[in-house]
Amino acid sequence: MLTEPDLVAKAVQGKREAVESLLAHLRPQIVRYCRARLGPISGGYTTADDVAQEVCVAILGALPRFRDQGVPFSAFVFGIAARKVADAHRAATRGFPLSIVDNVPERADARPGPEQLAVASDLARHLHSLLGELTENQRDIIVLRVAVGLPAEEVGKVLGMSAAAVRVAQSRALHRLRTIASSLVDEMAS
Amino acid sequence: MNEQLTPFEPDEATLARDDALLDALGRGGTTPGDDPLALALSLWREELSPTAVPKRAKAKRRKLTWGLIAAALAASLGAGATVAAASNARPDSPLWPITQRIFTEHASIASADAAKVKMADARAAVTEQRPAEAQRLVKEAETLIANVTSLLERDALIAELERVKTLLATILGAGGVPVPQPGATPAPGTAPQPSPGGGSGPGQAPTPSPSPSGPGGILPPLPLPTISLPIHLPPLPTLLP
Repeated sequence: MLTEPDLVAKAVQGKREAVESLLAHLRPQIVRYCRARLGPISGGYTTADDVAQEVCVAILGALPRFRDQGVPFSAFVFGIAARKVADAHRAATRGFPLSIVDNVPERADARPGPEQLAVASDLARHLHSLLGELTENQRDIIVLRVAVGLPAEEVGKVLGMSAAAVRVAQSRALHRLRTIASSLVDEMAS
Repeated sequence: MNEQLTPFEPDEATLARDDALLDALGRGGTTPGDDPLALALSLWREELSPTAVPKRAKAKRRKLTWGLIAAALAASLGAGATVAAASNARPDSPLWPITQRIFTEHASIASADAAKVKMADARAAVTEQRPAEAQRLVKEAETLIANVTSLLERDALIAELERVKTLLATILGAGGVPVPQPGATPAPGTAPQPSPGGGSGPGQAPTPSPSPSGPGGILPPLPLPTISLPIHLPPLPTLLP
């Protein structure tokens, strides 16, 4: 069985099968990353999935230029993904200026999606709004740790931090999320 | 942010426990224990998966799970968070979406019913030449409709709201001559539509006979979904105790 570095090496050389297996391996991670970062838009993940597709295409295009020069492959992949997500954020805020609303717009897109889909996207939105309470760094860490499933060491490489710093930051992020929960309940009880 | 002012300093045990939790969540595995945050994160992880097929059974199960999360949150945080308390959660609170999700169905039904009553009252106010009151009722109905989560029902309510607004516009714009027929809008500069078969002039009292298929004025038909749901008619207020 090939290890990821072997697969990456062969893919960089343009071996078709290796490129295909590499993408098959990366794609679910990239989709989860984009969905986690962008959240459901207009009631679904169409936008996030489109961005994930763009990320895959961009990775394919950049792959021949990837040389293992101490830059870990995950940093290469999620660096591209982070830039594409940032582009999408900018495009979205240009097209739809953020307005002050006291809850998330519920209006679905033109296609009447099945009820289950609405429920599903609804659920993801809760976490997305909770993540909005974290610092950018904490949010990146939670997305890479939970949504993508990278170990703390890999997350450190992607974000340019030590694994120890990632562990402290992730504990702070979880602490923050738990604090928000308890303050909400206090608020409700008062 | 107070996070920066007084940073949380996790001890070794917390670091190890949180790291193990995040490792497990990252693998997409289920998390042991009854930590509501862990449960919420694992559901979220599952939700993000491109292979997640939204099946009805699955959706139902998730609904239940969110109920459990709410219960676990309330229990673990030691508060008697009841439905009444949750309904008081303010919209700017970060956990508002969760409470809203859980109690949303109840709120949605209540809002739809209230909106129907408001719109019926608004129609009556238009017919009885009380534009200010009609305007207020339309506004209130609009706010209520925003809380309705069923898309089909909301579309139907919005369609009715548009009809009421059109009616209201006729008494506001046409010098106080009400035209209580839905869909019939007088063209500017012309007299309000006389009642069918009636030969009297524009000063005539409004005719309550419904003519739903009456042709409109120069305004194009409203771009409303033509869903024929039997929910347009508001329920009459019950006289029973």
